Amino acid sequence: MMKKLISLLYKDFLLVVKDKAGLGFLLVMPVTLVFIMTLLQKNAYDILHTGTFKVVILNNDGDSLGNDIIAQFKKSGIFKVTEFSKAGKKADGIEELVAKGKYKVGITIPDSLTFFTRQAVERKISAIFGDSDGNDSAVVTVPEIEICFDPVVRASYLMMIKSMLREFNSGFRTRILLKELSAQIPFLEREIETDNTVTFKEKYASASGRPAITPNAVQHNVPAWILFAMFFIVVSLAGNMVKERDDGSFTRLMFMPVPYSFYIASKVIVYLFVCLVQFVLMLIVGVYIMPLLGFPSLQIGHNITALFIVGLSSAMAAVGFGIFTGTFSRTYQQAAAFGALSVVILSAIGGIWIPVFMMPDAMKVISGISPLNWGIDGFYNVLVRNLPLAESADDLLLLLLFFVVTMAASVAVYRLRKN
Amino acid sequence: MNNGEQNIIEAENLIKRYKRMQVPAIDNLSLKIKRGEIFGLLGPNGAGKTTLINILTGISKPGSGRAFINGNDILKDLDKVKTQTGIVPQEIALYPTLTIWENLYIFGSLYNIPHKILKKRIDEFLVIYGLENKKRSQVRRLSGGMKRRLNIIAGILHNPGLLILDEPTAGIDVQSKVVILDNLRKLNRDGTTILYTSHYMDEAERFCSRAAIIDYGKLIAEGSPAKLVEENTDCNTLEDVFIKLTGREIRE
Repeated sequence: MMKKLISLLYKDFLLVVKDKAGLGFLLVMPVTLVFIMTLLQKNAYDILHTGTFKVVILNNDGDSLGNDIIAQFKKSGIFKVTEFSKAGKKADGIEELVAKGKYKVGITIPDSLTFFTRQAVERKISAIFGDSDGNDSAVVTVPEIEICFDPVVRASYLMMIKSMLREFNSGFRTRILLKELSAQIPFLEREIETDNTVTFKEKYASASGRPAITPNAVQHNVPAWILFAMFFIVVSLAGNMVKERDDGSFTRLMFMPVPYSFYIASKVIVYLFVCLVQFVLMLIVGVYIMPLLGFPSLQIGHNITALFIVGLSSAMAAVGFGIFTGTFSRTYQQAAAFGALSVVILSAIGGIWIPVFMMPDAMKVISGISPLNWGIDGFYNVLVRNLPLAESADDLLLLLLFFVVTMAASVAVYRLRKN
Repeated sequence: MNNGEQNIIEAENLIKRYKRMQVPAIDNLSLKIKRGEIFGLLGPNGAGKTTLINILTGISKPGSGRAFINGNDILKDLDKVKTQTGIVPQEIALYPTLTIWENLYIFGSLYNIPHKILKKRIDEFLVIYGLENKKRSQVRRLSGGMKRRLNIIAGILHNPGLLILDEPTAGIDVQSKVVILDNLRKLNRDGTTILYTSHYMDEAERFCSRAAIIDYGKLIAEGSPAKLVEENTDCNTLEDVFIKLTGREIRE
């Protein structure tokens, strides 16, 4: 019986290898997609990690608060700050620069912001301690900081900038407050050291005790497109099965003393091999080729075995789906259209094109039904979160269950049609 | 079932119905084919010839009835049936992108023929069927006649005791037809029983030792071509008998 399986493997291997265009497509397509998508998303990651988000600040204040704001923006590492002094630019000039797309955000710090802020705090303190002379009780109106932004800027960036400005302003007010209070309560400033304020230590979350891997476009795109490519073999595999039925060679095989299970097993083994070749090729591209083109190198983490198991489980789910599509489809056109369309839809809802966390709540729920979602979660656990394999057990089980269900459904349909 | 030594095929009361078809494809059909015969299964399009072949070879199951090949129940001993039977389907059931040699090697090895013997047989058959110079050619690049000859080789590599051919000479040139029929006769002389379907009545009349005409899934006549003509006194040829029994109405 083993000899028969080997003969079928030889047959399926030849069919795959001789379809050079199809094979080339299966191998070149994911590599191309990784390059394109990484290039497209590189900027988004660079904005967060390498300080290329361009901000122009017109400092009409020129005093401590205005200078502090500029210093803090520069220090953040997120922004590339261009600074203009009062003499250099007018507010509408800033808006023009942003409108032309030269900067993403323009901030105009108003004249005498420091003075009015300080005066507002001092008056409050005076009012509290009864030092007010009547005239001082009038409310001081602090001029507004004007922010203009490029319409393409995401709301999240705008929120971040507003939050930073609020924080700088609040810090400044606190310092003045302390100074004023110290005048009323001796030794207060010395007792309340600003150094004791809450500080932050930032790091990427890691549950494994091992440091998480810094996310970047390569780290996200390589596993995403590995999965897409693996599932795209559905078109080739299903098409191959339909062609075998159309040209009668499947009928001849079934005339022969060859169990149907062997016919299916051979397809599963050969296409798993193709998927694993895609997988290894994409890892090689991520680790060795991407850096040559100026992208970060793919870090494959500490657990190669876990990575391989996630890859194999995903490949099994993809092959199961291919066998299922090939069994159900009556024509090559059906197999190609259904295969391609279903994989694109499953990848879209599975978080290949857009990460699941960015989806609306309803779509987040729907994404849970996509095997590509289980696969990408498993890959991220290993490649980005640096977690042990056990943390991906639910994803792996779902992928294997999907394989079992699709295979069982395929065999059931074959038997139903035979009878 | 009484499986007489001389009967290689015995079918009894076979019925096969397909969904959405009002009349059965095979309707209570019984048939016996003797060892060593060249038996012609004749009938118009849709008469049930291919369905009967599919049942006898285990591709589809009968709704009811029984059939034996070489004494083996087609439902219980299908693997034995398949091992002892060679099939040449109506379509060119080969892989178009693979070469002649690759196709034959794959199909031959699925019958568990040892590698050396298989290689030898492939080379012999390629010479017999005039394809020895094309063994590295992809099947899709062959002419219709070459494909038909190759289709037959793939069915006889394992030296079956029974060879079932579904329209083996459909749409090919005269030379290829002669090669095919001559070599089938030689196989028959060497002991292979042949069950064959054809739409060419003149060819069947000359080639078959016995024939059956089926229509609407029923066996309507059986005997040697000469006997069938003799029994229908108003007919001069097997084609006349065929038209008389199945009518002039165009099918499918």
